[in-house]
Amino acid sequence: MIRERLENGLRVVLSPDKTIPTVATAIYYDVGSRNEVVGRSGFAHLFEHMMFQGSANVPKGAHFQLVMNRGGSMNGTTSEDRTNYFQTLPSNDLALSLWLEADRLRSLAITQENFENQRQTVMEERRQSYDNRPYMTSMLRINELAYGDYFPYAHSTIGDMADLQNAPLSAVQEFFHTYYTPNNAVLSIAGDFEPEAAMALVHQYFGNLLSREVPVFAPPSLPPQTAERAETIPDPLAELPAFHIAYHIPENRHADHYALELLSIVLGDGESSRLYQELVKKREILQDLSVGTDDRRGPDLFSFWGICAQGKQATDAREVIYTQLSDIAKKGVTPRELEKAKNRIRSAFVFGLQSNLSRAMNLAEFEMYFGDANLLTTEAERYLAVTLDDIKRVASTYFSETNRTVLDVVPVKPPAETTEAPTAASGAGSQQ
Amino acid sequence: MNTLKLTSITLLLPLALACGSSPPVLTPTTAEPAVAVEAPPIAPVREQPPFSQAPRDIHFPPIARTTTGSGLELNTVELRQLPLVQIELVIRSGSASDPANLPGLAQLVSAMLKEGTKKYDSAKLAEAIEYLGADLSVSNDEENVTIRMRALSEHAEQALSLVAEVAMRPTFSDAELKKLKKRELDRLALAANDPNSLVAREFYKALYGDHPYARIDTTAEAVKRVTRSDLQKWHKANFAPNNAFMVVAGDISAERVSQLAETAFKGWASRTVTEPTYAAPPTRSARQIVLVDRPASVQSVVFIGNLALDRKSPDYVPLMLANQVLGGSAAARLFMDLRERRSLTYGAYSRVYEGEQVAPFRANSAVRNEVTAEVMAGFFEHLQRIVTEPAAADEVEAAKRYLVDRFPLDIDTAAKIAHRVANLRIFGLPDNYWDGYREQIAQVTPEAALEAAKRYITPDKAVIVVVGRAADVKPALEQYGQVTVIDIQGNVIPQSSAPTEAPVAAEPSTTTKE
Repeated sequence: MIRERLENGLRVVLSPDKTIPTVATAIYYDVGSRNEVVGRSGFAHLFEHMMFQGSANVPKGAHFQLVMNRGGSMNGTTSEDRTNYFQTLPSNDLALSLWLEADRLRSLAITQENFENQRQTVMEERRQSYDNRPYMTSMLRINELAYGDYFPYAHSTIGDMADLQNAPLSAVQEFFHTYYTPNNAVLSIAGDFEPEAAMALVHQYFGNLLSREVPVFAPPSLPPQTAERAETIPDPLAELPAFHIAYHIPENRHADHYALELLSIVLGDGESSRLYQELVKKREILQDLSVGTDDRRGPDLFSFWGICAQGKQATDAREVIYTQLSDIAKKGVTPRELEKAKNRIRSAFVFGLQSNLSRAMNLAEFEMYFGDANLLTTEAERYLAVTLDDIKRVASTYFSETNRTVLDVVPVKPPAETTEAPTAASGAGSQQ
Repeated sequence: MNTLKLTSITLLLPLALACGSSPPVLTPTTAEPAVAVEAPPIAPVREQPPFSQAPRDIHFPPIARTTTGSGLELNTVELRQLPLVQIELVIRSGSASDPANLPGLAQLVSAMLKEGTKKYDSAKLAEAIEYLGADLSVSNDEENVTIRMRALSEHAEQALSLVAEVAMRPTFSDAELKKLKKRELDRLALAANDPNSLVAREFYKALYGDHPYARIDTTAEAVKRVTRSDLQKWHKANFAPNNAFMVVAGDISAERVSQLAETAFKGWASRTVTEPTYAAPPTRSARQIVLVDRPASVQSVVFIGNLALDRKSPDYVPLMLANQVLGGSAAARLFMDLRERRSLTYGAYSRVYEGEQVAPFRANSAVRNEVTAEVMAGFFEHLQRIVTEPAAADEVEAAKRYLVDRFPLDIDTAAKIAHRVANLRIFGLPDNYWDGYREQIAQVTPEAALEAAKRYITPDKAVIVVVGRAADVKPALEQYGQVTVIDIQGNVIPQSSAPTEAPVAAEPSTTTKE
């Protein structure tokens, strides 16, 4: 692995591997929905869409066409913590990848017409991914509840419809100018290439971009939670009751985070996991279940999500979960359970190495979040070093009632069709 | 397990990968871009993107074929770069072999394979697999049941013996079946309100009529009715080495696979397997429009298509090329027009399915209720165009490069390679098919693509299925023919005789009635 930094501050990570003649490039910008301000929810992601609308040398639509019609695949994604853009191409087209990324960073085409087009596209994306699908709006609500006044993570990355509707064109130019600079980015390249030749291309395309000062992300502190938070929301699209539980835990790569991830595997990863066996198989309270950490850069959550079996109550499922957690806090997990969790981590690392793209993405993320992509190479050891006592300790530290947020999702039938205007179809009927 | 966890949201939904293809001959780059200062937003003269360098040659890796003493065909692809193995055991019978009164039996057999074997009960089996850090899944389609396993190569022996155990010695325990039935009934209830499940269910039902491919999921009635002995009978009738093959791709030799499989599959007895017989799918003389009323919908989820051809047809490749121009990627006409120009949707695509028997062509999108009429008009405009005008030369070239040049991306993991080997066996294609395939694509002319499109894309006889809010979107559909409105359970909702709206000059062709 090779790491370099251009004079303009662009960090570059190279990971050559000639197994397959493809090359993946990923560019990460250190801006996500956590950087948004009140009234502009969804803007980082809406802006990400604008990055595919053309630039000085790339007409609208040509970005998709150039990459795909040379046999490549591409996408861009936005999370709370960062925005990324990536493509995998046959290795003879590395120059195209870098040229496209540099051109839009240098000269994005920001027009009212393109902006209206992508505003509609993103609103349609929100409908398709959330508003028209059962349970999905609850995925957004649980973060609002758990993070409360901590705006960076409380609000959704997809954004509120009203904010999307109201975003002005001037904000696009401003956002671009503020965050899209070489010194706020990490570029990584993985796959079949010669490092010297690749660096020459990077210098050629990115070398003369100018750096600009980027505002430091200064989040408010997360207000300590002092009592359980609970809410019930109706879902007209849902068929069965469901629930979320979220506990505050420290950020990703905090020493305790490794033990918490292994605990989440013991509890909910796979059909042999404790809670799948207990709640889905043995007691038949849940139809489906997932458990995991959310892996944020900042204050994180340990989350449970379950859909009830017909006729069963979420409260019964939660009792089992709470009992398991307090049991593990007292007695820990078995050596075999911990070993299984570690084996799953170990094999997942090997499986993940197959794709040039996933390597490029992981390296860029580590370089950006933790300052050194090399840390990735010792990451497996940090999981393998977790002990039975560590699991017991984290189980007794983080799962108190006062650190907990609970969201119940209750199916409601939409009002019958009448000639009258429908009465309040939905809306959060919250308790407490 | 179904994880709804969100980590990030994306620009495009991941596309099902198309198949693909040979290095094109292109000159090395001479491009010299890079501007010294920040350029104005739109430069009057555009710099050309860098040319492609000469591609590195790549071939599909060799497949070593052997047979065990018990008659199971083994296909091994040695890939030494990473210490892992990918296994696919394919049983050549699927839901087309379901008895008429038990739709979904093959699916329930598949689901029960992991619920206990002679050696392990359900919980112990899951633990044995997951302790290795491995994954084992069972899925089925109309013609096959597939057991897939991914493991570290140091566990190849255990992995193969687990696959064999699951295939050969499931117990179908009554207690586990009782539990599975409850989970299946809940799963069906959830699917009945999921727009993506609903649209697919009704699309296949309309396309295939009485043909067994009409059903893509089991039914509550079948789940309630099925017994342990039904499962045992279906398993016994279809799970046999002479009705199966295995693919292993990864860090292992063919000799080692033979040796391990010989032991693992010892005693698996051959038997005569009855091929299912059934009527041909219906031929269609008019459009059929089904509107699934889901009153809480904020979008219309739209499928438009027809039965096209089977994978082995010589017309498959030219049709795939026409489809690529129409809607095979985000660079194609449907996406560029309906999303990037008209702002109607997050995505619009089309696809030709691969099947042992006649499989569908399908275009699809999801749009806010109020633009349902516009998107329908847009779809028909593009469908009509793809079947009447030859695509422009540059569109055809672009589609060919998409399909041909992505070949290295299509074979970059053991799982993708194993899947492609399995497809060769399933569709009866030769071992050297994937290398010649790129040449086949390169040979297609715009005229041949048009001929294939004309023959296999039939907008005048399309099946149209929309899941949405009927009160808002029914008039938009009536322009294209008579609309049958059903509820999410599939029951027809009688419509009042009062006409909602007279068919206005329907774009682009004749309005037809059932």
